[in-house]
Amino acid sequence: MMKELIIYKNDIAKLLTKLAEEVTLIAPVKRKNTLLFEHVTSGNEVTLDFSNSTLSVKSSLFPQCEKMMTFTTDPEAEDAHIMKDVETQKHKQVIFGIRPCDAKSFLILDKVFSQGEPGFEDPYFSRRKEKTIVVGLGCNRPLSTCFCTSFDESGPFATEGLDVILTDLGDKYLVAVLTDKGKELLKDKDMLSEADSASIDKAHQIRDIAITSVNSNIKIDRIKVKDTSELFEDPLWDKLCETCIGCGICTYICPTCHCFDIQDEVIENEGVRMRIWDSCMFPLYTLQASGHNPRATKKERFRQRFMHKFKYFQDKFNTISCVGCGRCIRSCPVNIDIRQVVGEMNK
Amino acid sequence: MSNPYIPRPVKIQEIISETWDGSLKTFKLVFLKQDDEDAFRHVPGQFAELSIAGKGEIPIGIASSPTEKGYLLFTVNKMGVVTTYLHNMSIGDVMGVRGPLGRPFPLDKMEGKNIVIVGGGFAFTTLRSMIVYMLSVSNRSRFGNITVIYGARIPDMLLYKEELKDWERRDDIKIVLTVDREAEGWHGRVGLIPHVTKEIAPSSDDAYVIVCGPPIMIKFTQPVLLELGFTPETIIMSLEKRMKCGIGICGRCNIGPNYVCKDGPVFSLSELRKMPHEY
Repeated sequence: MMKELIIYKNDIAKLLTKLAEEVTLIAPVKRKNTLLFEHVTSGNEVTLDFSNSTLSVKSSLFPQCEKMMTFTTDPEAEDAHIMKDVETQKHKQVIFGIRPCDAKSFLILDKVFSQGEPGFEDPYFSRRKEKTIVVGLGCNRPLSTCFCTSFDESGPFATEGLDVILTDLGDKYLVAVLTDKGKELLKDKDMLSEADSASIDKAHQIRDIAITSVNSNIKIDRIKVKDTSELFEDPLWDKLCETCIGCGICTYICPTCHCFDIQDEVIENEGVRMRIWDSCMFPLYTLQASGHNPRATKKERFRQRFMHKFKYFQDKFNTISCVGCGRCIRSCPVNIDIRQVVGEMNK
Repeated sequence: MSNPYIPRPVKIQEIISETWDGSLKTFKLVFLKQDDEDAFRHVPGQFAELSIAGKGEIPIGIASSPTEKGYLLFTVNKMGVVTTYLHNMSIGDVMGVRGPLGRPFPLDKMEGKNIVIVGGGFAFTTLRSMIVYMLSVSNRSRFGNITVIYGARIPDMLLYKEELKDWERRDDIKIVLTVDREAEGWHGRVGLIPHVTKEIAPSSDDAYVIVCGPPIMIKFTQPVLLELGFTPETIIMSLEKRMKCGIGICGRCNIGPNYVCKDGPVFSLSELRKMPHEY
């Protein structure tokens, strides 16, 4: 059903402003040295000239802090101490300009939040996902830390999880409409016109060059077949964890890390129960009230992060929980490189 | 589908102090809404998140049996933020229960078998659920011989003392109580669980054993049970972990690919042996 259109760069701000009138528009914005996806109301705020965002886009489906329930502790209130659901994401949202790696992370998060079980859903995640349309921006110039082509169905122009994908052709974008949701979104937008064959050919060339320019791929073939407990007990973890300082930035910027805490906050009798990102890098994460901690040392926490992504997740969902965006490599203050860790695991 | 994070509102109907030091209390909770009571259908071995608005949630094993209708029992050790607050709550206070959660004892496999229950300390809660369940009029004939070995540091630290007496008087269940040291007024056995289990030597013929207790007790009881002929498949245990969501998502309770909140808390020794040793 793919339909290909073009839009000139001069018209993109106009298109985004139009979209922002119709839906909640989440798009890349430059804030000093940081590139973030934020809610915008005008196309002029948006920049589509970037390598990849500093933070992943997961917060648009799984906010860093999200209200789950409200309650009152007012003793006079009839419903005191009773939790009431918070309705999230009433409006449609469009995430515009997301890289294919981040779009893929949504599919991985979906596995976690739906537990791969028909009929089960995490209502907070699924309500947001249902109302979300994803417009991707292919990656013309992958970074040296990118390794997205390591995995099936992945790459700088992969379309998995996207409703529309844009290819930067210099003065214009090729706009490939991939789903009905995408078609509906771009209906009656007169800045868009039918793509000519020269533009389509140019897009193909750009894609081919981009795909071959990702050259730091990892291999996970042996990890897949290794025994989980043996890999867990392997002495490699003693060495690999040495430099880690347990700061947790890798889990924070990771598009697939999804661990969370649930906390209550009460201000003058009005209470909220919320979920907040948490991290397996922190000792408190697993500390039990008795004082016992099953992951008491850095080694255990370090091992958990990599084993979870490349082995436990594989065992449970038959895929891995990494999209090769390389953010953890770029953000790590002690230069731990996930590609090297996985390389050791795969030996 | 309904939101699995929203607790069902309950009221504290009764608080029973189990021990002299006040560290263990049993809370009898009744649902505020009939729909919730009807919907909450648990099996022995499962747990629930007890929710206190403004304080948070804690995962606690369900001590009542599904055959006890109209209420739930939770025996709670005063330990952290939520449990300490709960210990100071009063009859009539409103709180929440979310569940039932987790995989229960494998009743389908255990039916028709002789059942041995080995418990230590305050880990006896879900074992109480199991015993009451098996002893109920409609279920007793579905299980063979029932042997219970239960121990605590001192006599006062044994939970459910009145019920233990009732069970001792019955002839369709064998109850062996033990304490770690001699104590005034104690006429029962003295000795640690692994030793007493060895002495009593419950038969492993056509039997399942459930062991719940502190890690050190489990560690030394396991070899005794294996020596008695129980296979790793027939030794059933229950694990504890820090948990938040209780439905396999929030991440912290995993042992390898298994989430204790969802794939457990009940595991057989044979299952545990296949998992990384991280608990």
